[in-house]
Amino acid sequence: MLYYLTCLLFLIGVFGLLTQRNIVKLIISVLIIENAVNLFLVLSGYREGGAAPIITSVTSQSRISVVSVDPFPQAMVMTSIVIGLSVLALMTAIALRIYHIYGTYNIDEIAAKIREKKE
Amino acid sequence: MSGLLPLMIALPLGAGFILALTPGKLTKAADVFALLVPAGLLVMAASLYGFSGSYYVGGWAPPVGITLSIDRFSGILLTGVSLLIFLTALYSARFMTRYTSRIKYYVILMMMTAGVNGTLLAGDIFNRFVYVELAAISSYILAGFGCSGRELAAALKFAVLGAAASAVTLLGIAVLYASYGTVDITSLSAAIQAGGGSGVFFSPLFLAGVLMSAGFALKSALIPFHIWQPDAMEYSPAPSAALISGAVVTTTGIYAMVRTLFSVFGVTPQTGAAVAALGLISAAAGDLAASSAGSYRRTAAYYSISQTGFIIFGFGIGGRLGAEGNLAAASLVLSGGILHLISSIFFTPLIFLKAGSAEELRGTESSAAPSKGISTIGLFSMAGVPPFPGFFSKAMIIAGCYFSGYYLAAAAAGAVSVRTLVSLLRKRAALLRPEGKEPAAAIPLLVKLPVALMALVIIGLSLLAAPRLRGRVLDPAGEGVIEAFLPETGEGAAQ
Repeated sequence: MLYYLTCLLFLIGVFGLLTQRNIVKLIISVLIIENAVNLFLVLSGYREGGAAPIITSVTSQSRISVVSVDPFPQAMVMTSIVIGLSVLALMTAIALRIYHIYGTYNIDEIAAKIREKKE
Repeated sequence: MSGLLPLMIALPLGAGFILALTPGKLTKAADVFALLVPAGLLVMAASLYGFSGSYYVGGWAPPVGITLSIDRFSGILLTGVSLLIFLTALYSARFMTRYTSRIKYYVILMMMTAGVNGTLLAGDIFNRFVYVELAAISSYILAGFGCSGRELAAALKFAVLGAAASAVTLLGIAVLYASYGTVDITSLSAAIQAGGGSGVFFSPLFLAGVLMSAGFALKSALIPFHIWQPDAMEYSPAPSAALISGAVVTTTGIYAMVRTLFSVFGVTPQTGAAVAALGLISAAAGDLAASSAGSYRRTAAYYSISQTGFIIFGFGIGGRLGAEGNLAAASLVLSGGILHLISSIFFTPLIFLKAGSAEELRGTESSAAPSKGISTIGLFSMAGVPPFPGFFSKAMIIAGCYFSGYYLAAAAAGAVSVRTLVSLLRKRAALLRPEGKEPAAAIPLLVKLPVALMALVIIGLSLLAAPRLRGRVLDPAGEGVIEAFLPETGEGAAQ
């Protein structure tokens, strides 16, 4: 069930990326796609009712692979979230500068203004 | 020897952080420092050349730890890219004075270098993804470095598409991990070979292959995914355009794609044919789009898409031939593909750097056309005029197709390269200004010297097509690729 919802989230992001003309909404769409992928990654290592992947006196080293969730996708998701955050910061900064220059967030209007300047 | 591998990544990263803390007063010192680091990397890359081996970070062996590995294919690219970055840094020292902070540019240059080297050396697909991201984020910043409106618009387009492509690549990695439980390239390819599911439609393997190829195809600007490239190439500062087209596209796009398909998934005749078709479409469509493009830089951008397509076509055909067991032809075609890849590391940047020299001469107008002379060498090797490397590499690819009985592929590739040759030669007169209108001395020496060196490198590269040098340099590199489908008998593959 959760997998299908993740797929739905991914498709919503793709739909937004294809249909929206506003820079901020485009950035949000990219963010939705990224988060859907992150969710999928976490889900791939999830185990129903699993323990935290920490070796303690209760969960011994030999039992850890049987009872705990897979820690590796979690490590990958941490990296992916950091990358996503830095790209988000960069995109937002560029979008702000574009707004200062062109006074609009609409990509069609920006494209028209660039073309105007050229001719 | 393998102890140098982590330094190739750590040195530029560390240098980047030191540069980020350097006050603006020390810009001259930063110039020297930012030149010494690529020089050191170039020496290290050259001494690593011909070496194959692995380095386990922190002493942890593969399934647990992070592996860095190098073979003769990544080694030759590492040397080429290091040389390009060194020459571009030399060019930037004078050229980038027009922008407010040169130090910030160097910081991004170092980050990009770390990302590019990491992409070439990473031994597992997740780490490669992280380094690809590092190089990609740096190239979004480089593309918009001048902060004029159209540069920023191009950079934003690049960033949004690039981020979506990265998410798709990561999804592919997630699917692979969910199916095989590892991301280490050696164990992963062993698991995939054991499963034998390669080429089955709608299997997780097929899905992961399509997702990852699409992600890397966007980075290498292949045709359905190319829309960011012409804008970024036309508006960004000349050294940025050179670095993106020469270093980022070739390594994070073409190399990552070829390595993932060959070493991880293992090439079957079907995947080889699909990759070759994708490449051929880009080669033809890029060439067609270039004929109707306006400015010098935009035309060059479309031609460079066409060349990328040709390289991918070469690797695809080589993979198909190798998977069919026709190793002699596969070796010829792959050597041609590698030669074209190596020379495109230099000829595409040369073309964009010459555009930069023209801007240097005539203010900041980014559609300025360079004079004839050295830019002719770049355009000629792109077009495939005989004494330049582009001719030999294309000839090797086409001959390999022909001798192995793929007459249709040979004819199509031949038609595309002849069309490129004719249209580029016809367009050259309109694109370039005749020599002698301006005194050449007006271009500062530090801008002229790296471009001249790059032209010398291109001419030198055409020597690699000579049989003896080919056997020593290109064929071993091709073997590195071929080993992917011959895990046991990889040693004698080229004989």
